[in-house]
Amino acid sequence: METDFLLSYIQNVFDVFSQGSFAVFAGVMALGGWLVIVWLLFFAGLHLYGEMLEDRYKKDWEWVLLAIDVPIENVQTPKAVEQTFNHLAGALENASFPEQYIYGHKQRWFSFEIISIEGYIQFLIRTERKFYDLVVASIYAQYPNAEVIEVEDYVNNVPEKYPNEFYNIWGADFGLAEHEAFPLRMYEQFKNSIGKDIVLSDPMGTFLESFSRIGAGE
Amino acid sequence: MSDNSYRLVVSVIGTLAGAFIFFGGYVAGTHGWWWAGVLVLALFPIINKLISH
Repeated sequence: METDFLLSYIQNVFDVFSQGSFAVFAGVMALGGWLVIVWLLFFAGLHLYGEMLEDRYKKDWEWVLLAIDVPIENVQTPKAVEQTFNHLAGALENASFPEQYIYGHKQRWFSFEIISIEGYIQFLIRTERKFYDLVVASIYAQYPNAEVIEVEDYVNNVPEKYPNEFYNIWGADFGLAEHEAFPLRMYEQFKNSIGKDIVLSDPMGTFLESFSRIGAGE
Repeated sequence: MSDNSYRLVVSVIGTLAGAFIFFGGYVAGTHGWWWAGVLVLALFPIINKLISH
């Protein structure tokens, strides 16, 4: 019985392809081809629907840019930065199914930036207004003497198109030196003992030094 | 894309999917139920309303 059905199905397929193009199309549809198209349309529609919900969810978000100034006498190890990141992990929100697929829940995020404008280095954190207090608390917890100031986004003060009459642009990114299976070098491996009680541990020293050498107009 | 554009595209996609499902059934059967094909057009306003605010 099943063999008969299979044979007649194969015969139908051959019959379909021996006709004109519209008849072939109709035949493919009749033999289940609509499933493929509907499958594709379903996922395209679902993707766009998800993007629409996300846009609606993010519509009222207000971003703030915080500049962090840590006094030079505030000696801390890189462990403090790790603790700051741990503190900020509290921002993780667990969305329920309706929140995710009906209200388009989107996890709020942070961006940590180190910028140098004409050699003046600044640590910036871009966050959504809702997490302003969380960010400030996480900084003060590790750097009690730090100054956290809300600043205007520096991106607004630079040209939109490059290269232009006055400026050129150059970019680079970091890649892994070895296979990704190798562990990343942590700040502990940057420690250098220069005396019995003095240990230097500054994994970003080289990086910041080159930032401080950025000249006027750069 | 604006919210209206998203709604429009998603509604068109939903209507198209309905049309393909109908067409598959129509050509596989005895070419009956043609009026159901007309009803597929109603999917557009239905989906559009469902996904509005």
